[in-house]
Amino acid sequence: MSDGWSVLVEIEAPEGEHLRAGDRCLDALADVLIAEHHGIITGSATGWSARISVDDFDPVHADWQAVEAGRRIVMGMAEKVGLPDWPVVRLEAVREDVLDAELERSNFPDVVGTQEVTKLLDVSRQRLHELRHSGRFPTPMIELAAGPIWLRTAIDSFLDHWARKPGRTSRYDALREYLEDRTESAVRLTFAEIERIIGGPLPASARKHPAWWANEKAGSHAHAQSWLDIGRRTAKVDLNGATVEFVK
Amino acid sequence: MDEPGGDSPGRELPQDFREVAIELVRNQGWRYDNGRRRGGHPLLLPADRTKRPIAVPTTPGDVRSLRNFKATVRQAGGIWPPPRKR
Repeated sequence: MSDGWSVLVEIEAPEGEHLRAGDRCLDALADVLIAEHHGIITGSATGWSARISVDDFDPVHADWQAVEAGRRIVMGMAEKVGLPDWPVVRLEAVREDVLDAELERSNFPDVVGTQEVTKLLDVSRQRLHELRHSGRFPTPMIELAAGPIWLRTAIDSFLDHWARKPGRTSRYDALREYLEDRTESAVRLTFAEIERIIGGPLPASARKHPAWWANEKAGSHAHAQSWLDIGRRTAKVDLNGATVEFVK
Repeated sequence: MDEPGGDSPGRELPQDFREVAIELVRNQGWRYDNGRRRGGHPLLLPADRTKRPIAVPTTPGDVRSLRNFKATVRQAGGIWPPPRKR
């Protein structure tokens, strides 16, 4: 554990006061704090700040001693170089090893776009589009012309709580989502509409055999599960007209 | 300490400080004033004009002043370290 502390002292001019143009006081303060206390100074006509390093404190009271020592050094030097006696508006102390750990990590947020999100969720772009309109997906932080941008943490959190059923294929999952959003007791869809929803063609047997539309949950009928799971069943399968009705 | 500048960070800055200054000026919209015209410290002027200019040391840096410098840059809205390419 480090014994050193980084202390920030920030000063603001009272309303109506400011440093005169060409005033060299801040340069003089920078000279001395850089040379003697590893200091960094910011400043304008209406205020300034100094961040310096201090150390050698009693371990039990190091935090308050660091704050007090930092404030005393900075304000003492400010007075010496002729800066006006303006009020302190911020006083912070952070242990140097803690600050080092913070400075190791970028302060730019971890963000992701559509391509990264589809990879993280292992879904198609179309499925992502559906998820976004489900009302359960995080809202992007910003929508650029190139697309939406999310915080990575928001996507990770969504993934943690996303109730994706294992083994279900994404294409029929999309049909389930679509039917779930419909409130009518009977929903008639053309095969072409279903293909648009699932993002690809139906298997040839769907157009040839009414049995493909059977309400069978047994076996690996993922397509039937997509409507049976939400309490619907197929009725009026019309292969010639290429339509099917899902009823509650 | 608040005069605008259009200079490029050069050898007047210690290398570790120069590396940060170049990133800020080239990639983050900050400006740099080498201080020669004013006869003062070089200044880094944040992209966010409501933040105050930072006086950059010209003497060979040490770990502690570099730490304080990076913390000050971040407080003024600078991104450091820049995020790495995924």
